Order: sequence, then C-alpha cells, then structure tokens
Amino acid sequence: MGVTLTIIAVLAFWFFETLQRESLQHTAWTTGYSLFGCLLFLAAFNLRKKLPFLSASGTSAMWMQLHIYVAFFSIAVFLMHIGLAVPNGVFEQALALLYVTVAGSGVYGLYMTRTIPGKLTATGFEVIFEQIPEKRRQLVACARNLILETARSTDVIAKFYLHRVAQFMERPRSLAYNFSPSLRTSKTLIEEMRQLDRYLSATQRESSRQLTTLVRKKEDLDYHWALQGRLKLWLFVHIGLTYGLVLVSVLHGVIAHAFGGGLR
Amino acid sequence: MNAPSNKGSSFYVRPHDDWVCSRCDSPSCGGCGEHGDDAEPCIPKPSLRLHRGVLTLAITALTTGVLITLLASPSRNNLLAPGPLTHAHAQILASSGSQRCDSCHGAGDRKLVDWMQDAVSSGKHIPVSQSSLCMDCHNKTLLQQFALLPHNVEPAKLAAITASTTETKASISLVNPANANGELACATCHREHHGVEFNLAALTDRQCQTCHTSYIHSFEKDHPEFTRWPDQRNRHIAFDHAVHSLKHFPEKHTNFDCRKCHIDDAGGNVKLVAPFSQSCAECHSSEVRGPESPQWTLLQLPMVDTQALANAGKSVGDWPASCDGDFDGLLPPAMKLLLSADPTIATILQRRGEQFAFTDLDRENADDLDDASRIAWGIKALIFDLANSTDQTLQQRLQLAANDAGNDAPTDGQNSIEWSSLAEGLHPDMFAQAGQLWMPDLAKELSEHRMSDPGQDDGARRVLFGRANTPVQQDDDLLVENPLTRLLSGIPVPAFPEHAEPNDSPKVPVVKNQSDPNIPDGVVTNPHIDPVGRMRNANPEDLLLENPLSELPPLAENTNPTDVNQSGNIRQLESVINQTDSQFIDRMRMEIRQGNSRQSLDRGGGWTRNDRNFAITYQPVQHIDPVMKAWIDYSMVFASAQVVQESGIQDSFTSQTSAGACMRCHTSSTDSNDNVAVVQWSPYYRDPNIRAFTRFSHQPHDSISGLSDCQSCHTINNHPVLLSSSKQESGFGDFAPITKGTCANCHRPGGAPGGCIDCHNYHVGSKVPGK
Repeated sequence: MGVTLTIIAVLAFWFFETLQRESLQHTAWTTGYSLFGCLLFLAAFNLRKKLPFLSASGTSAMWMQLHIYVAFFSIAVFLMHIGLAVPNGVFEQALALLYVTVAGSGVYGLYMTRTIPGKLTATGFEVIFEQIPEKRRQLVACARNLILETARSTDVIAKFYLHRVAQFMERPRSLAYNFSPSLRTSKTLIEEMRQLDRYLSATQRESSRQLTTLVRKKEDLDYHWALQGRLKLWLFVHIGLTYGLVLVSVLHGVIAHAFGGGLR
Repeated sequence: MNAPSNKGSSFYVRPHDDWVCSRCDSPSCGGCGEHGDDAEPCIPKPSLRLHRGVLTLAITALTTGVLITLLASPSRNNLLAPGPLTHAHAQILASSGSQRCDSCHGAGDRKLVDWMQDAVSSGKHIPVSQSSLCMDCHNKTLLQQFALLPHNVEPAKLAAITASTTETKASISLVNPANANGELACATCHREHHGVEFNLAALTDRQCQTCHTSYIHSFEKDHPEFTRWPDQRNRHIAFDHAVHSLKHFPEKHTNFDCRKCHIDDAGGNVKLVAPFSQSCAECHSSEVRGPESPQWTLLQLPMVDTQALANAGKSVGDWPASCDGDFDGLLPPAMKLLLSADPTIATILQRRGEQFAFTDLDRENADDLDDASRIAWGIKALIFDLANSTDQTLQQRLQLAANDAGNDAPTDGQNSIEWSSLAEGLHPDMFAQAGQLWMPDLAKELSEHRMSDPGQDDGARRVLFGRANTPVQQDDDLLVENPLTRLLSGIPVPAFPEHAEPNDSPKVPVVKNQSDPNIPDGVVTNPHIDPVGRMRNANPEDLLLENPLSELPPLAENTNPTDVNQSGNIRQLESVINQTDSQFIDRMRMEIRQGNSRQSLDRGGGWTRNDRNFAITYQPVQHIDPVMKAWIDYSMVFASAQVVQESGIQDSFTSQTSAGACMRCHTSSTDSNDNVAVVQWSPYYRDPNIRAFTRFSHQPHDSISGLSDCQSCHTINNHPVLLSSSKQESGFGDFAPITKGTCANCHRPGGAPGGCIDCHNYHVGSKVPGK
C-alpha cells in the first residue's frame, strides 16, 4: 500500500514537474522546495520520540515506514531537481554529494535491516550488540577454566589452545572478517581439534568437545558483532551528515532566491 | 517491544543510554555492586549513541565552519556559481574576475545577510532585476521598450494578431509565465550556468505552446497553411518571372537560368539579385541610361504673349522670341515645384489645378494676364537663383514648397533624400548661360521689377533664396554682381549681394560656341564645363589671360540651335574623377570599376540646355542615377504634400516613357512608422534592425539534389499576368504560392526537423526605436 502510494506520488509529481517545465516555469523552485520539505521531515524523524503529540500519533514502525516512503519520494524529486545530470557548480556538486551520501546510506541501512535479521536468526541465538563484549569475556573465562582443568591430566589441549585457539578466542576478529564474515577459521580450528582426539583420553576428549562448543559460540558472537555492527555503523553516516546537509541546503535556497533570474 | 517502567528490574537493555559500564560494556549493568562489593567503582564510558551524537555535532559544526569560510572567501562567487557560463557570456565577462557575477546578478556584490533578507522579502530587497541587467548589454539587439514583452511586440499589436487567429483548441498548460504586466523574464527561456556549449536559445515546441493555445503536434499536421509565402512581401524589383521565362527569354533564344540573376549571399542563406549589369543590362540598358532614354525636364519656358502682357501693363521684359506668342505650353512638374516656393505662384498653381497649361490663359482676361505675368517673373527669378547657387536654390525651394503646403515630412524621410544630388553635375553656369542667351538683361530686369512691384516682396522668400526679388535701393554703394558674369572669370559664383544696383550691372557678353570634332554639328558646348557639368578650369589666372568663352562661335551664328549636350567619353569622366571626390564621383568610380556604366557613358547623357525649346533637361547617365534617385526620393517623401501631388512629378517618374524608367522596376513601399513611401533602390534589402518572424536559409536546401532546381519550390505560373500597379501593391502572381506541403515533403516526423524555432524567431521586430 505504502509502496503503491509512493509510486503514485512520484508519478504525479513527475507529471506536474513536466507540465511546469514545458510551460516555461522554473521547476527548480517546485522540486527544490519539495525536496527541502522532505529533507526536514526526514531529519525530524528523531523528534518523533521527543514530541508527545507525534509519539502518540502512531507506532514507531509506522513512522519508520513513513520515513522510508518519504525518503524514496525525495530521491525521485532530487533526480528531477538536478535534471538527471551531475551539477556543474562546485557548491552544488558538494550539496548533491552530501544528499547522495545520506540517501545512499539510508538505502543501505534499509537493505541491512531487511536482510541481516534473517541471517542472525539463522545462528539460533540472540544477543544484544552492546552485550557481545561481555559475552566474549565470559567465553574466554570459560575457555581458560576448561584449559586449566585439562592441564592436570594432559598438556596437549592446553598447548593446542595456546598456539591455535587463544588468538581466535581472545582477540578481536580482523577488519576483513567484519566486512565479510566467514566460518573458515572456526571450521579449521574445529577440524584440527577433531584430529587431536586420537591423542586424548575419553575424559580429555570431553574437554576438547567443550572447547569446540566454545569456539562455535565465539564464532556466533563474532558473526553477530559483524552484522549488528553494520546496523549500527550506517547510522553514523546517515545521521552524522543529515544536519550538515540541511545547513548546506538552506544556504543553497538562499542563494537560489538571491541569484534567481526574474522580473521582481 | 515496550520498554519496562523499572530499569533495574527489567531484562530489557537500553542501548540508547549515553553511558555504559566500563567493565562490562553493558548498558544493562546494574551498577558497581553487580561486579562484587570489593570491586573498584567503574568509570562509565560513552555509548555508541553518544559517539554518534558527538560525530553528528562535529560534522554539523564542521559544515558550518566550511560554509562561513566559503562565504568569507574572495573566491566566494566562483565557488557558489552553479556552473560554467556559455562561451559568449564567459568570454565577455572573463576580464571581470570574481566580480563578474555583478554583471548579471544584483546580488552578486551583496552579503549573506542581504541574500537572506532578499529571500524573505520575496526578492524586494535587491531591487535590480536580472532582466534589467541583461538589457544593459542586449539593448543593442532588443528594443528596450518591448524587450520583455512576448515576441518583443507591443501589446496592442500582439492582441490584434492574436485576435486575428482562429485558434480554438487549447492545450494543457499551467499558468502563463508572464507577470501581471505581461512581461517575461529573460531567464524564462534563457537558462545560464549549464556549461560552455549549452544552447541558451533552445526551446521546445511544447514550451512555445505555453502561450500559443492552438496545439501543434507536428508541422506536417497542424501548422497553418502558408498565406502566399513568400510572395506576400513587396518585391523590390518588379520583375515578372512568368513573362520573362515564357516570352522574352525564348524570343531571344536564351535559357532562363535562375542562377544567372540570383546569387548567394556570403552565408548562402539568401538568394540575392545580381547587379544590374549582370542581370538586366543586356536587354534594358538603353531604356535606363544614355541618349536613347527619354529626357526629364527640370525647367522649360512656356509660350508667353508678351505683347498682351505689355498692353495690360504687365510686361515681363526680355522673353525669347521663339517663346513669344499665344499662351501655350505645360509647366514641367519640377519647375512647378520650384515656382511653388513663391507663395503667390503657389496660390496661382493651386487655383488653376493639376492640369494647368498656359494654353488655358486668355489674353483678354486680366486675371489670366496677371497670373501669366507673375509666373513669367517667377521663372526669371528661378533661373537667376539657379545661376546664383543651383544646389541651395533647388533644396531650399523644394523644401519651402513642400513645407509651405503644410507637409511635415518626417525627419528620417527628409534625411533619406540626397539633396546634393538633385543638381549632381548641374553647374550654375548652365543657368547663367541660359539667362544670358534667353534673357540677356535678366538681373537688371529683376531688380527693376522688384522696384516697380514691391507688393510681391515676401520676407521668407528673400531670406531663403529670392535675392533676385530683393528691392533695389538706389543710394546703396554696393555694386551688384551679376552671377551671369562668372562665366567670364571662371571662378565660383558668389552669393548675390543683398542690395544690388541695377544700373551697375555689367553687360554680359554673349557666350560663344567652341568647335570640337567630337561634338556633332549644331551642338553648343562650354569648354569650362566638363561632361557632367562641372567647371573644368580651377585656375582663375589662366582664365584671365584667355577667355575661353570668346573662342566659342556666337550663338547667333548657331543656325541650327539644338541641345547643348555635355557628353563625354570614359577618359574625360575619369579625368573628372581625379579632380573631385564627391559622392557622385565615388559612385561613378565604382560603376566604372564594375564596368557597369562604360557603355552608357560612351553614349552620353547628363544635363542638357536645349535652346530649341528653351529647356533644361536630364538624361540618366547610369543605372541608379543619383540625380533621378534624389528627385524620385523627394517626390516620395513629400508625396502627401498637395503641391507635390498637384505638380504631377510622381507621374513623370512612373509613366512608361519616364527618364531612366526607374519606377518601372523599382517598387515603392510605405514605412509603417512614419507613413512615408520609399523607393526600393536596392534589389534586396533586409533591414538589419528588423528581425522577421520566419527565417529561411537556402544553403542547406541547395545541397539536396532534388532541390537543386529552384523551380522545385518556386514554381512559375503558366498563365502569367502582365505587371500592373495593383500587382505591385499586392504582390506578384508570377509564382505559384509555396504551400506547407512543399516543405512537409521533407519536414515531417522522422524526416527533417520541423520544430517551431527551426523556422521561427522568438525575438521579432525592431531592434531600434522608430523602426
């Protein structure tokens, strides 16, 4: 419904803009003011929680959906405003770049919020992003306790942990992993531990399996960290640039009024 | 997901808190006690949300700083400019540097505060509009008065054009872009800052139809049919293509080739008419110039019954015996005009009407005798004045005649007359000779006549030209100098003294003829006068030593008086050219270079004193003869003056036997602004100050093989109608009208372009006031 309405609104606006352009009107005023209005509405999304009459007028999800529809509408208006061409002026290029970055990060964020939850659910457990460091610490503590217990009977597991597993368990994952998480490292470790079993007694093998479980949990936490981190980080771009974009837009409008050709 | 009311007892984590526990990184941390009573109190650290807020604030502050720096920068305007200017504007403003924005924008040199106030006050804070700044430069190509109006046409005219159309079908359009005064800003159509190569004049058909309510989908389907395009225009040359192609050329076994007479202009856009020498002279040269062309009479003595006038006490003094008899003869139109400068004679001529002839006068009627006497004395005064100063006399008398009749010819029209050419090649000596030969005591008689008839005195006439009419004061010591005596001295004729002593007027000797083997028998010539009527000898001392006139045979011996034809050959003319630099000579020089007038000059032409019928006549010496042109221009400019109309001077130029036959080919048109008729001397002239609504360039069409034959579009009618005056006024029917279908053969969807601005100009009309 919302998508349909958005498409209809875009088409109607495009028809109106075309009619204006073919009627020798300056469509830049229409598209410019519309775009600026959309920008203010989108930037004020956060005010929803701070203005009682707005927060009481709908659910958070509803406002988010509205935010998304208006954002897509504004992208269409933006394309009309620039005439589907890269602006020629330095200032206008900077403004366009700001808008594209903010809008692009928004689209990216939307894509993330629509795809990542499914992937996280597939891991079989839930964890809050902010609690992941604590969970990691707990896993490390568990792993160390387990190694200390096994060290009484054999040093094989302890040596293996120190040389192979400790780096995985106790240090953050690489930047490459956070960009593109994979199970390769954890699978390798688990395979190596499985091959280690022939050198262990039955009791020691049980400890090895517990360590394998801890490795799997660590892998899941890292995976959550990487994916949930994306959900957090895109907002740094999206929100961080929003108010700068509004400022530059205001100046752009003032200049347009002052320098716009006309009869006065 | 609803937030619990009690944070401490809830499992729900609030990731939006600004601070988190530094030990567990968890915003859900219950506090220091949660990590054991012995633990050291933790120092909370900022949450991701707080980091994001700080970053946002930092970027916003940074943006503000960048903008402030930008606005304070000397390169502000360059950085804020929305894009490069088009090549032409950029080139013009290149030297302005960073100040170039001021040239087109009133806000260019203002501060941010002004811009903001301007935005809030809807553009009233900066009073200078961009369009007015545009006109600072474009006032040379657009008439400022109408520059912002649609098509630059004045509202009333545009309304009349709109009302005359039958547009009914309206297209979908929004509000008209014009303001309440019907004005359009330049930027409505011309959008700058889109790059060097951007076409500022680009306009879509749909945009044209913002105002044009009749919807035109395509040229082929919806464009109105042409209305006799391009023949509705008044052609400058009344050339009947049908008659020439079907009759004259076949009779001469000559191929009728359009390109022989029509040549391309520099840009190949316009087919010009080739010069007379290239296009028409081969057949029409003898009609236009030389001895075979009819003569035009400037002055001619009528038959006057001097005896009847003397009996009535209205003696006219000396009058040539050959012109003495029963009243008879017509007054040449030009002489009527010159005589009409005298209000008394003007009244007589007006009373007697356009067809007045001396034959109408009755020797028994006192009024008729009185009129005849006054006209005769007027003719004498005219000859005397012309002998005194030909150029001034002609101009002053002609202006006085026309203006006295209440005609206020526009200044532009008067300026279009080359007054100095009225008497081009006509030296006062010709009238001095005429006076000597026809009325030997002219100066004395005129002075005496003024004495005896002071009632004819008129202040204005005396001041302007009529020194011959000035009453003589007997006690004046000043000696009269008769201009006729200048023939002896060979020096220019000075102004006639204000007060002359008739008794001291020297007796002028009779001019003698000079024998010349090149001159036919019976023709009297003056060695001081060159073939075009100018004084030959500029050294008065030589003349004092030998009076060349004395070598002339006495007129009395000229038993066969005939034309004093001042013909010459091309060498004589070139020698004259080397001695003078007047406009006439320049033009002649050009003609000689082009070889246009060689034939005619060899044959002769020019001013002639005819002693047989006592006339001064003229035969054109070249095509676009300056003398004929000047007289015709005068007759057109002052055409509305009653005196000019009644003189019949225009008829003398338009008749089939007119000298030079100028008006048989050169059409006239009326200037819409000052309502003055002008002759189209140039075969093709497009006023550079006037921009037409429709434009057409032959160049791209010539390159198409199917259109190489001009008659593929310009079809000559098979049933020609001979030229007539009505045809000249309404256009010519020798071509079949070009229809829209002719163009639509190619200009159709999928073919050649057929947009509005492919053929039409938006900015039309005059570029300068008064055009």
